[in-house]
Amino acid sequence: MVEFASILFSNDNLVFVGINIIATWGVYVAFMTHQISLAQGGFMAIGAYMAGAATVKWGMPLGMAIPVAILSSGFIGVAFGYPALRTRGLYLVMVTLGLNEVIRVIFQNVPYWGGQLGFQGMRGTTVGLVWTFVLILGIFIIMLEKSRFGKACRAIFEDEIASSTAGINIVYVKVASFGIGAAMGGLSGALYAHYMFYIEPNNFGMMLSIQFLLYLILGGHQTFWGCALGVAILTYLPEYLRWAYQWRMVIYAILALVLVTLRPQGIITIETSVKLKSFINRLVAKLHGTLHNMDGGE
Amino acid sequence: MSLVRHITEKDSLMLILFIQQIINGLMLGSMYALIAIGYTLVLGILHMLNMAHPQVYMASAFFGLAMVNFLSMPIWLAILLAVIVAGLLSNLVEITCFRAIDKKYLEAPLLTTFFMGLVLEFVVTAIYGSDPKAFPSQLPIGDIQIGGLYIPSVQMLALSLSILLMLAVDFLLYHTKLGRAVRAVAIDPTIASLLGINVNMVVTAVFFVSGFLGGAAAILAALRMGSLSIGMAWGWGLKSIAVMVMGGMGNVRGAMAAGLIVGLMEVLSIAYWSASYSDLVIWGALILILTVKKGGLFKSELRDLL
Repeated sequence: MVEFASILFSNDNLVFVGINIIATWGVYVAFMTHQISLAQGGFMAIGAYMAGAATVKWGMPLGMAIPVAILSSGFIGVAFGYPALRTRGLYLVMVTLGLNEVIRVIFQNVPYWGGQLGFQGMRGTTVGLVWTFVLILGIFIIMLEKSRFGKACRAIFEDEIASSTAGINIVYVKVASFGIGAAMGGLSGALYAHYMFYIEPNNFGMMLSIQFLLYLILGGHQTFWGCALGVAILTYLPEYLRWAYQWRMVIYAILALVLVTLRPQGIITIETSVKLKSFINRLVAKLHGTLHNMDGGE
Repeated sequence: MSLVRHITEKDSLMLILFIQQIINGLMLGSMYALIAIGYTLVLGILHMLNMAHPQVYMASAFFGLAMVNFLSMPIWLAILLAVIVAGLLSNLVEITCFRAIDKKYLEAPLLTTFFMGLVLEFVVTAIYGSDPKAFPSQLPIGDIQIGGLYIPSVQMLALSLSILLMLAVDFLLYHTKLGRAVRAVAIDPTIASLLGINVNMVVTAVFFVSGFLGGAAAILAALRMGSLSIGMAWGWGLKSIAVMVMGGMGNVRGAMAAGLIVGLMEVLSIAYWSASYSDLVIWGALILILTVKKGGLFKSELRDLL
C-alpha cells in the first residue's frame, strides 16, 4: 500500500501525467472539430525549444518563457491549419504526421539549438506549476465547451456541410481549434523541457504524437476528463508493472490491448458520464435523506 | 589532350555512381512498395490502418534469424519459413485486433493493432535485446560486374525478387478469381457477400498476403544490409504509410509506383544533398502533394475515410 502511494505521488509520475494531460487536451481540442492531429509532438518540440532558448539564451524567467512557447506553437499551428483544411480523415493524419517529422528534422539541423546533440540548461518546472496549468486548462476547456465556439465545434464534428449552412464560419472555427490545440502542445513542451533539463529532437518524434492520440481514444474522445483518465491509466500502468522486469512492457501492452477490446468506444463516453452524474445525484439525495431522518429522530 | 581524357574519365565515374544510386534507390523503393502494398490491401478491404504491420515483418525477420542461429537451418529455408510466419502473424493480428471488435468503432482498431505491435516488439526485445543483430548476407552466387559498375549478388537478388513479387501481386489481384473477390469486397462487403463471396476468407487471404509481402521486404532488406534491428519496424513502416498515401489509398499499382519514387528521392537526396535532410524531402513532398492534390499522386480507390 505504501509502495502504491509512493508510485502514485512520485514527482516524476505526477509531472509526466500532468504534461501528458495538457498535450492530450491539445489533441482533444483539435479533435472537437474532427481534426485528428499527429503533429502534437512537433508542437511540443517548438514549445520546448522556444522556451529553452528564452530561459537559457535570452535569460528570461520561466513565467515569460511559457507565453513565448505558447505563442510560437500557436502561430505555427494556425499557419499550418490553413493548408491542413484542404485535407481530412486519414489524409489529415498523414499531413500532420509529415509536419511532425519536418519539425523534428529542422531542429536536428539547426545549430542554434545544438542540432543532433541536443540542448540543455532548462530548469524550473515543479509539480505545483504543472498541475496549476492542468487546473487552469481544465476550467478553460469547460468554458470553451459551453461557449458559442465550443458548440460550433461540436456542430462541425457532427456535420460540416450542415453547420456551414447554419452560418458557422468553418474556416475560422477549424483553424482556431487547431491553433489552440497546438498552443497547448507548446505549453506542455515548455514544461517538459524545464523539467528534463536536456532535450533532443528525437524526444519529439512521431511515437510521441501517436501516444497522445492513443490516450485520447483509449480514455474516450467525447469528454475532456475521459482522455485525462486515459493519460493517467497508460502512464501509471507500466510503473506498477516494474516487478515483471524484462516482460514488463509485454504485460503492459497485453493489458492495454484487453482494455481496448473490452471498451472499444473508449473508457468514458457521454453515456458513462451521464450515468455517473445521475449516480452521484442519487447518492447525494440518499445522504441528504439519511441526514434528514437523523434530524427527525432527535 | 590529357585534360580532355581526365574529364571524360571523371564523367564516366560520375555516371557509374549515378547508376549505382539509381539501383540503390530502386532497391529501397521496392522495399517501401512491398510494405506499402501490405498497408494498402488491408486499408482497401477493411478501411482501417493496420498499425501492427511494421512489427509483424520485423518479428518475422527475427524469427528467420533465430532459425539460422539456433536450428542452423540453410538460409533459403529460414527465409521461406520466416515469410510464411509473417503471413500467419498477420492473420493473428487480424483475428485479435479486427475481428474481435465491432465494425462500428472506427478508431478502436488503431489502438488494438498498435498495442498488438507493441506486444510483438517487446517480445522480440525481451528475447533478443535491443541491439542490432548480424544477419547472414553471403549467398553462393557470383557478384555482377558490368564495366565499372559493380552490383553485389545479394542486391541484385533482392531487387529482382521484390519486383517479381510486385508483379505476382498485380497478377493475383487483376487476373485471378481471388483477386476479383478482393476487389469486390473492397467496393462493398455486403454486396460481395450477397453475390456468394466468402468475405471472411477474403479478409484472411488479404492479411496473409500483406504479412507475406512485408516479411519478404524485411528479410530481403536484412540480407542486403547484413543486419537486423528493432528500429527497422517503425523506421520503414512510417515511410511506407507515406508511400501508401501518396500512391492513393487502396491503389496497389499506385503504391508500387510511389514506393519506387520515394526510394529514388531518398537515395538521391542523400547522395547529392545531405543525409540529415532526406526525411525532410520525403515528408515535405507528402505535405505538398496532399495539400495540392487531395487524393495523393494516383487515384485512390476509396471515397472517404475516418
